[in-house]
Amino acid sequence: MAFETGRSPAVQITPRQRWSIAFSYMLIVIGLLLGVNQRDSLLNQTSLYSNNTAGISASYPARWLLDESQDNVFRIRDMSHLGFKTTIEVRSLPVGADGAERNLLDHLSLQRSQVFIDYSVLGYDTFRLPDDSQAVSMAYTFVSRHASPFLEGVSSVVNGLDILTIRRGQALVVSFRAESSQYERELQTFYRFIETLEF
Amino acid sequence: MNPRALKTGASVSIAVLLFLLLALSSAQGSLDLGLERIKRATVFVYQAETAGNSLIVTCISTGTLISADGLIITKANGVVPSQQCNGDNLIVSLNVDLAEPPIPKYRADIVTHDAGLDIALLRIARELDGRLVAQGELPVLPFVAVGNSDDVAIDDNLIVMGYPDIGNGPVAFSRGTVTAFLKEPLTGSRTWFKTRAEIPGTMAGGGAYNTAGELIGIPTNAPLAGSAAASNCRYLNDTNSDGLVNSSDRCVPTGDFISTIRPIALAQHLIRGARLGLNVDATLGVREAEPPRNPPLVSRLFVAPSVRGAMPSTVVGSLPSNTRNLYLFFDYDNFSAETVYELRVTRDGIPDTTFSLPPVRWSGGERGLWYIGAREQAWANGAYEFTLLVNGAGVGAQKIIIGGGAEDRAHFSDIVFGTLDQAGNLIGNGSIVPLGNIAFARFLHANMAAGRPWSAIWYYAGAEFARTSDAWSDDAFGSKVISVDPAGGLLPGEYRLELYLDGALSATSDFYVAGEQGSPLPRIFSNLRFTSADSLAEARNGSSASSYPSSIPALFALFDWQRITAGTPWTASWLVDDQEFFRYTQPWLAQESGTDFAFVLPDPPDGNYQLQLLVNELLLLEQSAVVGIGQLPIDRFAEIQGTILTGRVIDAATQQGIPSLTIVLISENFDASEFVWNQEQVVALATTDRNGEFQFARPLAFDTPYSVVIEAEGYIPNFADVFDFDPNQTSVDITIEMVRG
Repeated sequence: MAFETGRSPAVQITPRQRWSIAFSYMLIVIGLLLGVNQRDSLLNQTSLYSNNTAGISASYPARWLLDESQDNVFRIRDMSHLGFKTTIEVRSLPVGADGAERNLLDHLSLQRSQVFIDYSVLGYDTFRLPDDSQAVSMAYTFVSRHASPFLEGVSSVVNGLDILTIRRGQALVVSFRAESSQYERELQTFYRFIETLEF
Repeated sequence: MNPRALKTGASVSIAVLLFLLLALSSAQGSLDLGLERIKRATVFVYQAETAGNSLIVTCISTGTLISADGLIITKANGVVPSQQCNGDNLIVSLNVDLAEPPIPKYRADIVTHDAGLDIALLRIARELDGRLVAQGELPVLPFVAVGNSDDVAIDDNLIVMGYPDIGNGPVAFSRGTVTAFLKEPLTGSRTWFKTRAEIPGTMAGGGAYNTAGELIGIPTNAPLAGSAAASNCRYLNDTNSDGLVNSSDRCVPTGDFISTIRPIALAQHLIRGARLGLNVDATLGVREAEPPRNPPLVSRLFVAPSVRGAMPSTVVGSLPSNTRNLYLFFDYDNFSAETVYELRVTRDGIPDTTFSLPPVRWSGGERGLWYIGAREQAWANGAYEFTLLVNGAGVGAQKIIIGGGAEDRAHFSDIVFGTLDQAGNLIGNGSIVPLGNIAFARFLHANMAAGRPWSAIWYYAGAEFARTSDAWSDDAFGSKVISVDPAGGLLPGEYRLELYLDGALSATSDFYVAGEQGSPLPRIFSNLRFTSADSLAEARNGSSASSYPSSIPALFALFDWQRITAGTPWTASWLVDDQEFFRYTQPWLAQESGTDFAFVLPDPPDGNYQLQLLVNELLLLEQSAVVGIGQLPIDRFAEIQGTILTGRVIDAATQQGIPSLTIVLISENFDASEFVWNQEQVVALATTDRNGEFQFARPLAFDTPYSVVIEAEGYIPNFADVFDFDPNQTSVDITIEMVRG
């Protein structure tokens, strides 16, 4: 058996076809851009929280669970997160005549050391609020464990950051907590939240 | 694609899946599920002593969760620090896997206890490492319903649940029947249930349940202190640090097999107080009773066919056939809540386990007249011998013959005390006589023949002070009144009258002289009032009122007293909304007369409070006060009905469980599309463990349309509406698949 080999003639693309291909590529790019834009807008979509009694308002990520039932002014949690649910918590504390920011942060640490596993303060710093006023911050870490005693819960290492400022005889503490491995990435969400916070 | 469209598509699949799985799971029998719930609510408790950096187990008990927020009922002996069990930590092991031993998970604090009843209420308060459980962080725990032990009848079936080993085996239960009720001078109609169920000593403190699965009693025992030979004892720790665990180490007492159950009715006030977080402080200005210094004594054993108040109606040496009531009386002294006592009964020389009482804690205070017996139960004919043992040693015995026909023997009975009115009638309550010059006693007599010698002996504080002996000159049947008028008048304190026929004790009764003459009752307590204050000093100077606003810091109750001598037993009973939550029975320890005896109840919730003052179980004075709206708040977790929803969330592609994913259960007032991620819309949250398993530990209401929402990074959101349970579904297990997207 013998085989014949040869070369097929070159295919000539018509201008119409060339435009069609270019147009298809453009549609794909536009679609991708729209998709990215849609995704970003979904991810960055926010809800407005407003508490006239406490005089606090802020924009927080949409689809985070808002909880006003605790002792805090309010708490929001990203329930879609696997592992420790990234949390932002805002609460006010009474301030004594002799109380300074550092006293209040130490008081928080004492309380947390009673309930947080392996709670440890990492350090203190200053923090500039959107209105250019100065606040103090405290970074800390602890271990979060699944609460149900009947399941094989896993522990997560959590990093936290408190921003504390005293206004009109009340201290406002804004706390951010995220799983250690996600902390730096999630911190941007917290900063965006702080930017919108009014009190 | 629009996220909402994605969710809609996914929801169809999960809704179908949920309904299929719910339908399948409903086929399980509710009885088994009830038993499973009881098992899950049964905990194992270690009492441990801190020794350097380690914990040494000192005692062990079974316990039972009776509320979703971690309230545990168990026996006091084993958790309350004592000579035998001197640990300072209580470790609670939960029943995570029903087929496996319990796992230590938490630490508990003692909320309240009654050493005599041998019942304690614990509350889970700390994580295993000693940290406080954060507010709202304790999951809703499985618990059992508390039933009514007064409804239990002889031959009723019961189940006793507990841990038959020393924490190294799974929970188990014994089936049995109630064989007898034993009665002692405690409130309530039954002091003990007797059963032939095989109950190992380590199951003491667990639960006895009726066929409805309700807790009706606590099996208790009292291993003897320091006597490994006399009772079952296990060696768990190297307590002497010699590198070996052997008989040189201190053992953990477990006790022998149990046949007695303490009815839950006797602990209802403790349970109520613990549930409501009501802790009355009764120690304001009161000195502590000193423990007895001398060894326990028992004397004057005799048998009576019936009881009047806490006193014998008459004294008998034999009883006829078909006897259904029998009580063994005895005097006791130098007893304490640490005292272990036991009654061994033989009939014709053969042990009678039905009416015997195995070693139990003493509940009667330091001294007095006590009885133990049974009413409305068949006593077979035979020669009975009752032997009392205290701390393992025999202290007295009494014999009686049951059989033959009823005899028309001469006897005295039913002694009551009081004073005479102007018409010559005996007035008073029968057991308390006000101060005066003369006390009267009335008793019944039967089959008396003229000339028969009889005598009456009067005692004050244990010493004879008057005696009359005479020949009988009254009718054969009837009642007779006698009196005593000691020189210098009646002093406040405890009195006794003994009536003898032919030199044999025929009837006896005790009474107290206290207080001023009142109408109709002696006036011992007065000026009972409530006040709200921050301190006792402020309360004593404050004005009283009958209603107070919500959130007062403390509710004080104060009263004055007159002419009550030290040692007179008295009781203060606190009630809220007509339910007793605190009962304080002690010998009187204060001065003979005085003012402003105080109780304090910190942080009382809204309710209608009442304080009753009693002497010898006789109500002498009561007062009430309203706080807030005058009604207790409703406990939304107290409802046991509902479905326990458990399940697993898996990756649809890999079929592997997805860990740390949260499932949101939405209130029936919203469907999933209306969910705006507000906690107010959420009924419960559950998070998967490392295997993807989850559990909504809180029971979910029947016939209520819940919605479920699951959002997880890397997966298409899932939701389902109209997710309800019918009343047959006490437990439901589902599997949810998540699709990557």
